[in-house]
Amino acid sequence: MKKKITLILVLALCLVMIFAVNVFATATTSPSGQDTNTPNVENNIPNTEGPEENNSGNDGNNDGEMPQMSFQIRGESLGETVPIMCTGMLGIFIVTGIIIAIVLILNTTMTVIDNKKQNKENK
Amino acid sequence: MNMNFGILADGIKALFTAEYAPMMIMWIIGGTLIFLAIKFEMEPTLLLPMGFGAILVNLPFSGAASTIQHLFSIGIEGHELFPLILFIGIGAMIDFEPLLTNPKLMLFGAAAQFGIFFTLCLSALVGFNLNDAASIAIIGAADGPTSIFVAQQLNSNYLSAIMVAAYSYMALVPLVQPPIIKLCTTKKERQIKMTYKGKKVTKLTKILFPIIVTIIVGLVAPTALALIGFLMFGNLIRECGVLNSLSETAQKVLANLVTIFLGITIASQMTASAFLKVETLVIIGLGLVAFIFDTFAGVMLAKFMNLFSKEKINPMIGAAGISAFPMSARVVHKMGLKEDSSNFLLMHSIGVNVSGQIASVIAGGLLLTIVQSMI
Repeated sequence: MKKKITLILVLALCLVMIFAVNVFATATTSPSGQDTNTPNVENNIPNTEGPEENNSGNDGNNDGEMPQMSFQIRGESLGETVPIMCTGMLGIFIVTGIIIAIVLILNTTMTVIDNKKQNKENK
Repeated sequence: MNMNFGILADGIKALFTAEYAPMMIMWIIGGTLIFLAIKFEMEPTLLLPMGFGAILVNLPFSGAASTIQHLFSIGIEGHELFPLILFIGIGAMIDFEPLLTNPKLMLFGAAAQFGIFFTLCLSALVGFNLNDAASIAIIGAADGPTSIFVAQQLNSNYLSAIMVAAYSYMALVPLVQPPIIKLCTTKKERQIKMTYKGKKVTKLTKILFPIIVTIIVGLVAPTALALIGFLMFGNLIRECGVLNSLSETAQKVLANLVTIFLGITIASQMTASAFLKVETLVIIGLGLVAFIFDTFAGVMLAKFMNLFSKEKINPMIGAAGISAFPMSARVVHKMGLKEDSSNFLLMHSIGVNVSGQIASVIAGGLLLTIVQSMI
């Protein structure tokens, strides 16, 4: 137990130190916010362009960067999505219903065939 | 030599700058995923590679990032190969017998997809585009491959967050579902005993089932045919009885191999610059909403059916209608045993769970078809 607590305390201390250094580093960067000695974060992924480029067949929206979006309640969107919800749920129940019906028919047919086979064997 | 020291010094120095703080946050996230996988055995096959991958791609000047990105471009971005191949393995693992003996269990699988459509409305309401809202909503399918497939097909901008949320929630099913089930049911309802009538299902039925489901779903939602087709192909290999070695390979070697690559490939999208956004938190929150409403709808349908049926259904089995196979079924079974040690719900919940697997693919296909026709 003591060991665990010590380990947690050491980890917490490390984190505090790292962030303290971060704050210090931020304060000492140039007014533009760019520390000339610091490598760019964006550079941590080397260039992936190559012969395999764009073999996805789609428009390539997934470039690893999410667009900035502003969250706002759009009541009018319900007019678009509620019909999708109704159609979707109805569609699922219809497809499920068809599958259930077919399975029931299959089960019944197989039982009848099995019974007939058994009757023949019994005879 | 000097140059090497220079690079080392740059790397160490970089760690102590504010610019790299997001990377360190990603290490903590990666570490947490690894911790959850090892300590609590939460979906370790995926969370561990994802956690390690998150650390791997968030190191300054990471040379591994390009390799993993390449895996991503051929395995997921290309033609959703990894999720589809994984579906062959999953199909080979699934035994549809409990479902075929009691096909009405499929209704719970259908009902438990409500969370997807509810979340679609909610996501659009808070400002996401229709294609992004649909991609976020599909987290509620509780099925990683389906989530990746739909989000990729709809060209979502939030693929990384969606993938991480989908797999994380699958792992968190034992934590997410029980409180919701308890909230929706009374102790008396949770104690309802269900007897399992193990009817004999013929081999021909088991062989015809995957073929019929593929044809029906293919006709209704052709865009999702690859998903259901690969799932049912795996199941056909299992049930045909003449491809036992292929079936075993698909269940074990193939599924494990693809899972290793899938986990680490997903991590390629977990770079600090792409992941540490408010949108990620919102997406994770919306994913939780989807799971909650999936569970709620499944339980509520069971309660509704109890109003009319003579043989009472334990409403908890409705919650297994979310796809997360087989965790959800196990959770329901364990909850049943907790309420009454002689109440074995496993076969019923497994039946509902496999129906959820099919229903989630149908839901994904329908969502794709409808949304693609609108955008």
